Amino acid sequence: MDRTDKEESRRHFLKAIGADAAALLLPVALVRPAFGQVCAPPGNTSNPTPWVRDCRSIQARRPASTLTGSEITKLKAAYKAMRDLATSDPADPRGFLHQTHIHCHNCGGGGSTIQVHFGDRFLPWHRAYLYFHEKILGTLIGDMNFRLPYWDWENPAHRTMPSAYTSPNNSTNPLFNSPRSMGPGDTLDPTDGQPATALSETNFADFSPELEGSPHGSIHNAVGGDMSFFDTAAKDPIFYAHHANVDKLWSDWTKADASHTAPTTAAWLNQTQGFFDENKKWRTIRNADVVDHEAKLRYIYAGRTWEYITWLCLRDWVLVDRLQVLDASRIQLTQAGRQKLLPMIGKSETRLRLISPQLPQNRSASYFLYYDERDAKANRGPESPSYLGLVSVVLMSKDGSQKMGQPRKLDFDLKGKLKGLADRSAEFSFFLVEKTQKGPNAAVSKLPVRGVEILRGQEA
Amino acid sequence: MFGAVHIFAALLLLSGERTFQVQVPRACESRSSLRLLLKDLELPRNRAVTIRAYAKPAQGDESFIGLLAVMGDSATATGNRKMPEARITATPAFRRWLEDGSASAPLSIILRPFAGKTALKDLEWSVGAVEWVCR
Repeated sequence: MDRTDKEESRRHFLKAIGADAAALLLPVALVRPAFGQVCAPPGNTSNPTPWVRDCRSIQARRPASTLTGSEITKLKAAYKAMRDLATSDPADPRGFLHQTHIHCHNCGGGGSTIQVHFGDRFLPWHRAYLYFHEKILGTLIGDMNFRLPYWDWENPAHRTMPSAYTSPNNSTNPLFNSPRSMGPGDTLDPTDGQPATALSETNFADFSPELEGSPHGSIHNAVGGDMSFFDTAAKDPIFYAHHANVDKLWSDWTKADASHTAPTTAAWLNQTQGFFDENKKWRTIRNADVVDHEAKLRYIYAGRTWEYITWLCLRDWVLVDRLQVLDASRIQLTQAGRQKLLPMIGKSETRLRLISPQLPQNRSASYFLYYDERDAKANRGPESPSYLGLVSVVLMSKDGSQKMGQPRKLDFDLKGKLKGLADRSAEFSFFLVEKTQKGPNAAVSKLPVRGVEILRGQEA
Repeated sequence: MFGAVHIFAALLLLSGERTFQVQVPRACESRSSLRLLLKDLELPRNRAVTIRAYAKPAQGDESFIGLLAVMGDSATATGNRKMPEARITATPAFRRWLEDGSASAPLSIILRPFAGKTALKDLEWSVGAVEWVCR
């Protein structure tokens, strides 16, 4: 974003809130960067790739003070990995130093003309920043269900810094930062971290600057040290837990009343922010994409562990390979196809798609589907390595005179199954076994198909 | 949308707290939002400052109005941040204090700069005037 973009953004915001109220805002135009560290993003950011939808399971961001021991261990491991990356590969934009520079660069640091504070992009920009930061942390520890914790400083029981960030209170703790004015056990001033005034605002144009000034700003200042300054604030890991709470308050305010909406102008909705993602790709994401954090960014705020089923997430599925159908019941994975599948093992969400499967039509029944005959005969269901899923046939009349019609396609999740499939060098078949047939030597029938495809979920 | 109801002269000091004499904002009592505008606020760029505002009647204890927090640009920044206007929104507790009739005219508005909980007595800063606005 250049200066023109910034001023355009500000103009829209001022217009939205009215000329009288505009006079109340802090004057961005007067904020001239007079500070010095170089904090521009590394590498080429001139050809951004637009962000695409995220289909991870929805997970909860939870209060930092309520994390279990294993959750704290995981949080520390993630930040340690991010800090280590900054040392082992200084050019990697996912390293901790570069992550902190994102905030610096977007706050006028190092001669940048970008300022995401004091205007209508304060909330969406920080939401997107935390989203990409969180995905990187999750990737570094191999857990895409990882979510940041939040410091709920407005909770009377949580007025001290969460202990994970101060215990131990030295550099062996990846969540520690020096210096901080607020030490372990220090409590916030009673006037800091009080969101009631902001939450009582009735429109976004008033809510956002109110929340930004206080409690957001006052908590930054109360923690002190790096957190006090725009160019260094993100060097303190508590920054991310603090901003997760600011983000939660935006979420709370939105839920509190149907009239509490984000701006609806095209200019605001189409504002874009740029970040490196977990694969080091420079992505742009629009404000419109971050408004619904639950459906789009796949997190909620909750006091306990929570997981959603992801069936509502409409992921794009990309064809990776078509298997050879030698005849309707003889399938073969080619060497070229195998080479396409191997890199996806354990990394991508994959599906097996059967085109025009010819299901039995003699009666209503449920069948387990396998790709290995021995597993089919044992019929142990989901415990079998080659088990693919359940297929039900429901006839339209009891006497079987009305067939259900053959489906055009059936999809099966290949989670944990892809390696076994990729290892099949000889031709193979798909086998149906009635679900009720227990024990060895179940009656097995081959399932004829017209086509077999392997699909990959499109990465966000 | 907003209406200014009182404008008052500043008692400008070189450092520490700033005090202004103001009238009780009676016209705002029934409004949904009450704000204190700080005119021509000037703060050093290399300091993070939380300004806490208090109201003190001629007789009686002072009451906390609200606060304004401004992060510093950088520890190495030079010069001042100049803000033609900055706002402090009155807390619900202060509004109740006003509505209870606890205040008697005029009020002293005291602005105290802090770094977290620590009073910044040596801070060089200025504010030209304060003004109540309500909606």
